[in-house]
Amino acid sequence: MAKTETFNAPAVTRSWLPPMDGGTAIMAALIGFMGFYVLYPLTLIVINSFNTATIAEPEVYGLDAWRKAFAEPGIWRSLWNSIKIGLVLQIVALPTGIFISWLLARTDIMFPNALEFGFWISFFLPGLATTFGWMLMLDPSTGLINSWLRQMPLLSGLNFDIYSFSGIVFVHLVSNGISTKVMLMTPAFRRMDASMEEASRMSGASAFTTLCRITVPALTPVIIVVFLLSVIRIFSSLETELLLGVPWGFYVYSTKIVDLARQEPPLVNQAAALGSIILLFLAIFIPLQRKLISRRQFTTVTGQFKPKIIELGIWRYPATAFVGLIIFILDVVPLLSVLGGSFMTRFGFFNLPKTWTLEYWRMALTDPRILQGLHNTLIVAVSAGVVGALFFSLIGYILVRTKLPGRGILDTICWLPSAIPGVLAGLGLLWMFLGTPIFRPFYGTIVLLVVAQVLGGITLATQILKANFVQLGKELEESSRMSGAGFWRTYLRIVFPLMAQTMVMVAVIKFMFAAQHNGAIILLATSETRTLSLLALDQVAAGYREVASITIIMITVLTLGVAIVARSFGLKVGIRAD
Amino acid sequence: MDDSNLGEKFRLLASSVIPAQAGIQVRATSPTHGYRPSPVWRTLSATWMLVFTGMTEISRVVFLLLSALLLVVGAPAHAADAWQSEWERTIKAAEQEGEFTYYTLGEVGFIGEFERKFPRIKARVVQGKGNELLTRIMAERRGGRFLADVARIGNTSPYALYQAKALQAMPPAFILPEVKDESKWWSGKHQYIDSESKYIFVPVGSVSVNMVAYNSEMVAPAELHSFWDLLHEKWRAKIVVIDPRATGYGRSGARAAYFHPQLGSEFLRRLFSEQVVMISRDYRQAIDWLAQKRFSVMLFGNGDDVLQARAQGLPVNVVDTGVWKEGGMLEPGAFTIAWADKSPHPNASKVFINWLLSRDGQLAVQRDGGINDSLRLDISKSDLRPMARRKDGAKYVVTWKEEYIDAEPMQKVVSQALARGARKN
Repeated sequence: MAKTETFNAPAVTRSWLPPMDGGTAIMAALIGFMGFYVLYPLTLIVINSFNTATIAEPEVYGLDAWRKAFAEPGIWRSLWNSIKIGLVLQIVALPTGIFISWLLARTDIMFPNALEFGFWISFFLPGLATTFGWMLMLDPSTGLINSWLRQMPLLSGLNFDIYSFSGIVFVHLVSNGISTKVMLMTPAFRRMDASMEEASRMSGASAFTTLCRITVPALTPVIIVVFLLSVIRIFSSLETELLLGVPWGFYVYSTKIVDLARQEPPLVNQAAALGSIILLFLAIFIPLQRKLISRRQFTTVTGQFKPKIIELGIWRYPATAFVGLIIFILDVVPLLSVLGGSFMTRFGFFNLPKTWTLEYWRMALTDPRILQGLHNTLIVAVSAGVVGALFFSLIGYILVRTKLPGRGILDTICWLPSAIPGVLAGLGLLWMFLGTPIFRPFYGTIVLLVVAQVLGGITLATQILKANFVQLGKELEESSRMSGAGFWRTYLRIVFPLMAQTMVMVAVIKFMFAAQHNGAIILLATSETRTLSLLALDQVAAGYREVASITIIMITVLTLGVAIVARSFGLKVGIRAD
Repeated sequence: MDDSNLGEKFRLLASSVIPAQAGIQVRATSPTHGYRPSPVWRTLSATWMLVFTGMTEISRVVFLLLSALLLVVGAPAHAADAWQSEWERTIKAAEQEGEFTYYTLGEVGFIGEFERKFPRIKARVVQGKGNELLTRIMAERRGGRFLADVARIGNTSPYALYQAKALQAMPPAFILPEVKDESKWWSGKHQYIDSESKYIFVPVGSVSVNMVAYNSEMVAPAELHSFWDLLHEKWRAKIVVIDPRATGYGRSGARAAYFHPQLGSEFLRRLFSEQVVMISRDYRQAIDWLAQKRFSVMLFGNGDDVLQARAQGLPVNVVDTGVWKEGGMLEPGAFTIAWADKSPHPNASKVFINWLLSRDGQLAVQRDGGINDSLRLDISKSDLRPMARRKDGAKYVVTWKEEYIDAEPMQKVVSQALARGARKN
């Protein structure tokens, strides 16, 4: 697929980029458009952080909320805890993710596609299921693994405690710490030109040395983006720390923000003040990332693209077993937790008079709201997936491929949403939709849910696409240009197929985010526009937690179904090593 | 666990919030302005005038006295006629409005019964947590959108609406005599959270099952007679508490203890600094720990979940603190009703409020979950779990007072006690 098409050079070449004026206009439109959607709600949140009045009073502005927020006991310790988790997690997850991605994409490991999909499954499984599953395994007194270890003659002294710092890091690692990296980096590894690695091997370097000295440096943009996304993500992580940290007094920054936002009455101003600290991190990260990426040339897909794979020889089988074992750890516990738990009268209790039941499934499947929820979910998630992938790929392409002024501003705008916890983002969107005349007629309809979810995950989508565009050599597009193709034709005929796998992945991720995450839409939905994830929340609120877990299974199956279809499509149209 | 019953309840809950598929049929009616006497009353008046003009002086006096007597006897009949015609007019107007918007937390199964009784009035349900719904209502109002009609958003959140003057008084909505008649309600009057007794109506007052739960294989209920017994050394490191610093049952329970005249801050201070309690924010996690014998006692959890776990076969139960020295606590179970100011569907709201507070409505509320003991006294309590029912002659502390709304002093005591405990232990 990666072969270069031959074009007949026309006598007169057309400009493949829009003329300068047109380009500036496009950039201005994009900055205006994205700025409105991202900066407007963000500005409303920041303004609100200076509002010292309670929710019931008219606005009064001052610094009280900031003072109170940062005078919260343990606030700085919780910030340090978040940073600590993020760093330790990345020290383990990043090299593991790079190594597995390399094995899957650059070597002759067995069943690479099936194994890669194993990481997709892990990525799509709800994080809470992983936490519950591992709590069942590693509870210090009742955990199944600990109980088993106690019965083993030589291992009886071993006892793992999941309610610990290492327990929290482990659960993050197996929930999506590794799977996210493998999922995001494998397509980039796959697109890498093998000629550089071949040169390294010809010079006598081992496969491992080549990986460290050639492959990883060549993929720096993707690795940096994946690393930064993971670090920022830790600031919004909540459930794992609530279940595993709060019992022994371990709090993280997101716990504090959500606590304030969910107080009665909500202390949104203080929550917003705390959220601003994450913006400070971005202020350091964004220029750093730009500097690191712009320092060198990272093109790995060129006109002479050679997607050859490395033969592992005798290491092929242990490597397959190693990756298989990781997938087993990542997938089996949460899958059993989700599926097995849905058939149990009470998850984790095997000695009840009636251990197994089909009742929850019967209740979930006969819930008349399920079809309406499915219908709404499909509208919202498909729109988010398709529109998001196409729109953000255009942004990524313009950021990487053009020299238009304002690229830094647009790039920064795309990073900002990652700093805002879901609970605040939802509020910002609510204020924006209610305060903008154009949106008001749509308030209470599914249109605004679609708009909110299309814009969700902006950072992840644009940065992944951008990092992949950096790898793409310019000569393919230049050939297209020389052959007389315009901007759009080049984009659709050359760039699009080369980026197909990444775009499919971004579409699926956005579909998953829209189907599973409800922070942005929770304040916008009604009984008519409720999606499956909101239905699950309502079921939990009404005390039907098991039925809610089945609704979540349905969302996961739906997402995996879409992922299978999209992936087979992506593999067909994308770059392949064969 | 009675699976079939659970399934039936769930179906009821689910079907209740599905909007009616058929469109709202609007009945053409001519609006009636002001009072119009009924035909019977008009006939009687005309006859009286005819007879009166043709009488002698004495006959007129006698006739006047008889008429006065008739008026006294007939007045209630006329009053009945008046509320009925007002009720009918309101229903017709409500049917023209076609719907009302109900912002609510918790169970909504009883809405189905309302829609069956009034099929031309659709309940548009917006579900969420109390604080989320409060945020949404306030944002909508500030954005010039007055969408909420009736709100059931807990105990604390409606108070913020009250403070923001976003509510209208409830009594003008009452039309049905059975709703208006305060003698039908507990302690002979309507209960409100606000001190004006007008805005945040409390229709439910259940005996709290959320204060104390225990592992029935580790604790004999007879061992405990008072909250102060929990401070005995034998319960050290044996208690799991739902975090009072977050919203939910943890906060409600600790707040009830804080304001209890026989417990107060001293109880909380000692509990959190001396007893090495485990804190959890997940009700399910705490109940599972209790069942797994990691802890003997759970405080301020979700009693309903404990009873459900018990029905599933787990060795857990809730304590009936009504028999303890300090007495039980009556709580609204986050079931309060407030009528939004500038309600876009005032007539549909009135019909819903009247139905909800009527015997039928309160029975439906009690059936939906079996834990909300209506403050109506003239209805059967057979649908309620025995422990949630108020007992005659028992001593209860009411937890829906205005002065209980502020949780900050309690949370400060808890935070300080936990910090002290951490340093000490």
